[in-house]
Amino acid sequence: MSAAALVLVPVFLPLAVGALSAVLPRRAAATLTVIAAVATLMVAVLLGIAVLDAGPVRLEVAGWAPPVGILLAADGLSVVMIGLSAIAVLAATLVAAADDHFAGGHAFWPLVGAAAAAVNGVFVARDVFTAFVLLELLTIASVALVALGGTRSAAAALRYLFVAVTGSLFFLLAVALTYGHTGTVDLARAAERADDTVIVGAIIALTVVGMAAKTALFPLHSWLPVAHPAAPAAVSALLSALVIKASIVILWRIVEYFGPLTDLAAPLATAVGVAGAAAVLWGGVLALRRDRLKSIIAYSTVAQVGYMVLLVPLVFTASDPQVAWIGGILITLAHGVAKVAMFLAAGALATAAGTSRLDGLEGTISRMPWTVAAIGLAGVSLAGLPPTLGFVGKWMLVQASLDAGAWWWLALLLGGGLLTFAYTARMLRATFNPPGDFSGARELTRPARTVAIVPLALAALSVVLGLIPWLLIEVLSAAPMGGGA
Amino acid sequence: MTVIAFSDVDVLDMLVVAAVAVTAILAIAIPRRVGATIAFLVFGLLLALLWARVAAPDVAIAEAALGGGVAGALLVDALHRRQPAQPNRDRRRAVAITAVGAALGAVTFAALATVLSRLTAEPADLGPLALEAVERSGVSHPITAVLLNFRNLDTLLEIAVVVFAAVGAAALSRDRIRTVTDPGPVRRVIAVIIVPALVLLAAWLLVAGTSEPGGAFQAGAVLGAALIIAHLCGVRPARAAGGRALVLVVAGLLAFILLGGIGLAATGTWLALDLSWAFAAILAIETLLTVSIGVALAMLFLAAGSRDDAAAADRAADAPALGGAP
Repeated sequence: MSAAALVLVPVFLPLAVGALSAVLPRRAAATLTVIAAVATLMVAVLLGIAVLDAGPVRLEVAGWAPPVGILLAADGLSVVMIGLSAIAVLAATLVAAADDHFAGGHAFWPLVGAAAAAVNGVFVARDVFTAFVLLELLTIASVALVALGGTRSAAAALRYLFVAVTGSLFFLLAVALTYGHTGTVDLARAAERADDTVIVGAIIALTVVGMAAKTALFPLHSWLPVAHPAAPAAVSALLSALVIKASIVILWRIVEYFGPLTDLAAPLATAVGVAGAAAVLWGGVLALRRDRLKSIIAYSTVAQVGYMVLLVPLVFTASDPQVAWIGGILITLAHGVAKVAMFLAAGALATAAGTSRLDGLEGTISRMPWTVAAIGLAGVSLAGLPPTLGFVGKWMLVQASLDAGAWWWLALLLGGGLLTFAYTARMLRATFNPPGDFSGARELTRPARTVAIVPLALAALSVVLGLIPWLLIEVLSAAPMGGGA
Repeated sequence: MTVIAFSDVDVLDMLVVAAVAVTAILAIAIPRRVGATIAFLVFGLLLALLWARVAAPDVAIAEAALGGGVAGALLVDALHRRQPAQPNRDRRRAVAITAVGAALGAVTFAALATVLSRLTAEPADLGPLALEAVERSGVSHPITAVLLNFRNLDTLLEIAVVVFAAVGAAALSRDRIRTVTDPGPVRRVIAVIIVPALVLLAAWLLVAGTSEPGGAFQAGAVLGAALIIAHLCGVRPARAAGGRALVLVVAGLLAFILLGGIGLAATGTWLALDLSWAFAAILAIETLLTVSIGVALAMLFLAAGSRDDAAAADRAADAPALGGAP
């Protein structure tokens, strides 16, 4: 099989496994899903080697070249994001296979397959219409996944559906404008042909609004802190770590291809940056004021989305946009890994203590020190402290800000880190024993061993990747963003 | 393919466009659900007419079959289920929301109008390019060539959307789907007349799709409507069987992915079709997809309608007993 043929494996494999899982018994579905995640991870590695070797891997689906056919391409961004998706799905499904409470029902397995296929597809899509269809698949799967949280989650799922579909419609308008203006839906060809500043600005603006709604970028974030905690724990982990990354990547791609074409891109990028800054502060402050684990972690996602879009203004102002791109991508990866760890660990604590409320977690640290440690480590990576991947990403964004002379982003990066540190500390504090009690005698329902190991392994991965980030940076630099595919 | 120049737009088109806009606004503005639903169904029919007028019969058939068929059934079914949410009694708040909405709408409309006015009226060169390629696609109808050959990845993903929507809906409707056991003579006659006719229509749309407007989506939508009617009329094979129905639903998607793999094995490219067997492959995959789409749409309807049906039946059964109690 040539490298090009590998590009569709991360899409078709989870999709086929998802379809099979709908009709297979639970054990078979779980086994197949785990195998597919491992295989996807291996494909990501192979694609990474191919990208290092010869740049972006291109695939003309069905043998038809654009504009008649569809082009898919894997560059450094695609490869690392597919790797993240494989790891997130692997972690969530291992835990869900060990304890059914984390899954919420049999439909978890087919829906996870569909969601994984959709996000992987978005990571390799170079065709705006294909990207739109993939977003639809992702929306359907994610909304149903949220609804697996039981009758109480129905309202949250419905609200999520409305927001997500509205976001899709904005993007569909952008797709229609792209086709109307350039006569093609292939990103590279469209960027070549687009010559009207206003229309290109409108395409970017519509994409920004649509994707901001889907990613829960401030001020369109209010659905996320309701929807993510309402879902079963494994689903919350996937939603925060993975699902919102798809809309982020689409936003990045549109900025990458269309940004340089119009003068309107710079003010739009600044607006995105301001929204991101507000998200970092607002999400961080609200996370400090919540009193349930999952709710705190969900608001933390709202804050972190702010960092993920911060590269948008920086790539326009920094003298070397690659630093901003790579920094932003790394911070997004770090968030994915840390969030899976955090949500799964929170799920384990909540199962053990019988409540997700902070005041009900007292004493859990004596019985489940490793699970609490996973939350702590993940928090360190989110806060951007060494030696974690979050630190590497944040450091590069700091460099890009200094380079662009934008000291205010610097203040934001550091202030947001403090907030992250504060709410992580608050979660850890809640697990301590009551003052004076050293017995650790609290009776807990012990979760399965896998449930304890997986979050810690992921938290450890944040550190490992933080120590050897050059591996990721090499792959990301092999095909520079904005260099075309 | 005909290109519509502005001079071709006549008074009738203008009237249909205006009617589409009016029914769309009515569907949102009418407070009563019956009125809003009727406005929405009329909107769908007018939209289908409009698609037909701009020389897009495939879209028109799909819109008519989906809007008038499954979507109509779902909406009408929802009408006499559940109490509607109490309208917000805080009048000032309602007025404020309407005002903000209208202002935002006006700004968006003005902005979009500005952008759209900058679009050139020249048709894209993609149409002629695609038409040129049709002879290498295995079928003669250009739309089918686009859907099942040039851009078959999009079609595969769209099928996946329908399939996983059905999977999700089936999982969320936790109660057993009520079976109609005693449909009564009228419904039996309806079933005998309409269901075979719809199945025949679906088959024709499917086969015709290779050379004329039609295809798997349109045929599937009609088949879905036929299955819903058959179910409501108590036709035995159409009685819901969750597990088996799901097998039919995922079979089409799996076969499509398998076809992609066969393309990879035979030609070295995912989803590639060799001209020698492209026609057979397209017809075979369209047949499977029609069944998948039809069953999936019917499942969506049954999943939405199941719970309250069962509850209503229980209440009806309980009512005399309660009434008779001392």
